[in-house]
Amino acid sequence: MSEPLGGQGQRPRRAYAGPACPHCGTALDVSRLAAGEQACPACAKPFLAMPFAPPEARVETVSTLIEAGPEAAIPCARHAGNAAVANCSRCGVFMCALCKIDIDGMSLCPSCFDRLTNEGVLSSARTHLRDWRGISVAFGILGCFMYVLGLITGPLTLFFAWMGFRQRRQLNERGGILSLVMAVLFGLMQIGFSVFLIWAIVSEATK
Amino acid sequence: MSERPLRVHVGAHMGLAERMRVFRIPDALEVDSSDHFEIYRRRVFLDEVLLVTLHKGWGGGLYPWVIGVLALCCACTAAIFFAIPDSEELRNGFLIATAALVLLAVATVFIPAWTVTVYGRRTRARMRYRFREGKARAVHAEICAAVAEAQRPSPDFV
Repeated sequence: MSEPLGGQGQRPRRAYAGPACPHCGTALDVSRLAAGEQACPACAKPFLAMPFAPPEARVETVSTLIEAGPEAAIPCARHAGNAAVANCSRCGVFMCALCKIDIDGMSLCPSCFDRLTNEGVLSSARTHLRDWRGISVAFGILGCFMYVLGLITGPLTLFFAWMGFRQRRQLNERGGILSLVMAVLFGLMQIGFSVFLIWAIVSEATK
Repeated sequence: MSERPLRVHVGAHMGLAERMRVFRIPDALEVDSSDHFEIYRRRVFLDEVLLVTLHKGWGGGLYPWVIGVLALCCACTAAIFFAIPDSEELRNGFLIATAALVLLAVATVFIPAWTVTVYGRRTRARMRYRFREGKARAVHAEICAAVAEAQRPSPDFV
């Protein structure tokens, strides 16, 4: 069991080996854990645990043409023996319950799902995004150390924060706005300090 | 073209080794891990959750390090002013700022933090709440309830 790779050209992520003690990382046998306060067998530190036993595999019932009869159902384009339950929202092909992929309010066949995923159209299927929030915060903090360049780093910080707000709206996020507000404040601080610095230098020079 | 599900921010875990933000979507927890200037996204599906834990720890994550770096900058600036004559006021100011930042960095090491960890079959989500035990317990209870609901046997499946 390991975490999925980071995608094409990405380095593999750190391996995930299942439930572990939240303090020391020692692997835990979930089947032996009870709900409530527990102590790690290795480090003896306490933690509140709630174990679950998810079903091993869920198999969706697929209705076949034999069950429905040739007049009552249309065959799936990929599985001739299965009855179609929907049309692909993009290409219109008939799909059985095995082929149907419900994502972002659409029902897609596997081919269209692959195509739209590769094109980056399906927001729910994207796993790599530009971290505008992180970039804006990094520029906001680093810019404070380079306050002489505040007229460059300040507007850049504001631009990246604006991109972050836009991304947040596009992803339909709620909450987690504090870091972006902080980045905006850092950007404004940098601009304000630079303007003050220039004003101080100019006023000294004109004396 | 497509309707995006609402993503509700439920928490974050900012450490030296990993930085992740966790969002709740209808059928899963979405974990956005920062990988340099990219977000690497993965999901812990509620019907695949094996264990949800809540534990108390200490430490302010990145804060002691960030404040420590600021203290170092102040100390270096103060050292520069040692070499400049007639700059006692500035030098003392930076020395006081250094001392204050060092004290603050030490204090942040002892910040109590409650961490909720959700272990799935393939990956995990972790959220840390500093000073907010009530919030951590509420999130833990909410996630446990959602997982129990998602893992309840459905008549549509065999």
